[in-house]
Amino acid sequence: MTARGVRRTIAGHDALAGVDLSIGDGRVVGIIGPNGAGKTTLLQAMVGLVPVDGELRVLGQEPWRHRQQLLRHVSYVADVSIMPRWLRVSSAVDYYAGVHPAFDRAVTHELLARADIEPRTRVGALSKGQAAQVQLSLAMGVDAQLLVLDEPTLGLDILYRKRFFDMLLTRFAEQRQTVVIATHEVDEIQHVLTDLVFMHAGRIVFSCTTEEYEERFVEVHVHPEHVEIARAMGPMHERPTLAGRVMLFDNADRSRLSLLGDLHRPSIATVFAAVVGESGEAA
Amino acid sequence: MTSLIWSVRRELWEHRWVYLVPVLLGGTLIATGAAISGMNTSGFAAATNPMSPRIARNLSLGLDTTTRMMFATTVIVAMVYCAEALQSERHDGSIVFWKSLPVGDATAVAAKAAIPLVFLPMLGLAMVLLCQLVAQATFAGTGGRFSSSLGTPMAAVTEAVVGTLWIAPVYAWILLVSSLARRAVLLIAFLPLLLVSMIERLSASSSGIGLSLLQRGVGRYWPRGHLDLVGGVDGLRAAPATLLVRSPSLWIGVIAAALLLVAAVRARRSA
Repeated sequence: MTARGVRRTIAGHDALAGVDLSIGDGRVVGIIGPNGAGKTTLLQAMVGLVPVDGELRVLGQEPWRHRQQLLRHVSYVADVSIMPRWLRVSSAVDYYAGVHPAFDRAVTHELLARADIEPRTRVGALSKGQAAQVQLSLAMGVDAQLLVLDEPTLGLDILYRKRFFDMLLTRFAEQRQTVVIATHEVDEIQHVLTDLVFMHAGRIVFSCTTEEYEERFVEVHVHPEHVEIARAMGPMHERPTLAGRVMLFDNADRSRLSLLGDLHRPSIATVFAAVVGESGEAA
Repeated sequence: MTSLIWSVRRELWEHRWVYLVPVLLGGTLIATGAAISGMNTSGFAAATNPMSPRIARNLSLGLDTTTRMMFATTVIVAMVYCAEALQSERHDGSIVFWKSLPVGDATAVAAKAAIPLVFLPMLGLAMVLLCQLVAQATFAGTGGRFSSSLGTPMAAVTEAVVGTLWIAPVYAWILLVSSLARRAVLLIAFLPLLLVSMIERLSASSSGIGLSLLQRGVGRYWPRGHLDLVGGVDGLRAAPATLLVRSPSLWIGVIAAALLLVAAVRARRSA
């Protein structure tokens, strides 16, 4: 997937304000950002649901012009339960099997059984979490080259979220699918991702591989007596704790930092807040 | 083609009343008609006590009315369905779910158009043919003769096909409005036309536009002998399908319907 200068304006507001992004085959990319950052618009543009200006290609096709062909190879789960309430789960499975050439109903049936969802149930009779599980079960039944997930675990309990991400990891490892996932549950998916993309105000403000992330960012619980020395090394961000100060560094000398306090891997949320800045402006 | 068939099935899952209403109403009409006819024909025998032409004419008129009511029912159901078809999926947000599958907007709109243009006429025709069987059974051996302009299978098939083509632009117009309007689709679709018709009636004391509207809708199936609905009653008398098929107005309407459906596809694509 490649995006160059992708823009979308809605009622005078830039939902996407010039997005440049490239995603290679077999990557698992987490798109992280606050509400209104443009994540959903970007994902919808990737599957051809909304038109955009600029250049956008997914699996070699322009999504808006070739949505039908593209979706033969792409599976998409939206951020809210968008399944019609009148639809029976079994009918949804039948419909998928009827129109999607890459759908394997056995996979979906297995996932539904694991979630204890009765196929004859109407979507309207399911809880919010169960409806989300049905959507995920359908999406995972598609043997797609690209899986696009927009807040897939919203409303799901912690056990199902863990099971889902483990399943995603297993499937990714087996089939080398490309997965693009937008989520607020950033730290839960950290172990699944190969790449991180931070979005803010319609722009991509930061991107790197998770290997780069591990190498670049380090958090130091600085001993009180070393605070000034640590500050002189230029932390991206610092915050007070009961035991002193915690500082976040980018590409700093870890051997020197280790003399100032305990080193930890920072959470994605911490790095995101530092990159975007307290005011919400990209650093 | 597979996607189209599944999309039509999806429409019938969502709008079960589309077939339940015509079947239940048609079944009730046929049962009632059969009971009334049965009571009126008992005792007649072709050899000894033949049915009088007057009774035969009255019974024929009743069965003809039943036939027309069944076609009219499918037209009304089709119009209500068209109003919902493209609006409801936008209203409940499920359009994103349907559009996230490899089914194009043209296929989705074609499936929706197939309900009023193919499915309902076939269902109406099946009910009418059943009604004809009942009529034939009623008259059998009584010496009376069943006569109706829609009384033969061929006439009913011709009416189902030509009548549908005749009303097609109305269905397509409602589908287009359904793809654009947030609510009150039928009101938005017909209010401007009704206002123009009223202005014409008040200013020129004529009812050309109103009659044209009625003729392109259920007015086509208004029972014979009950035409005094709008000032120029004769204008409401529907042209027979065999004449209508040679009318340029029919084919202009078909072209208009196709253009309106293309516009509905574009509207759904941008929804």
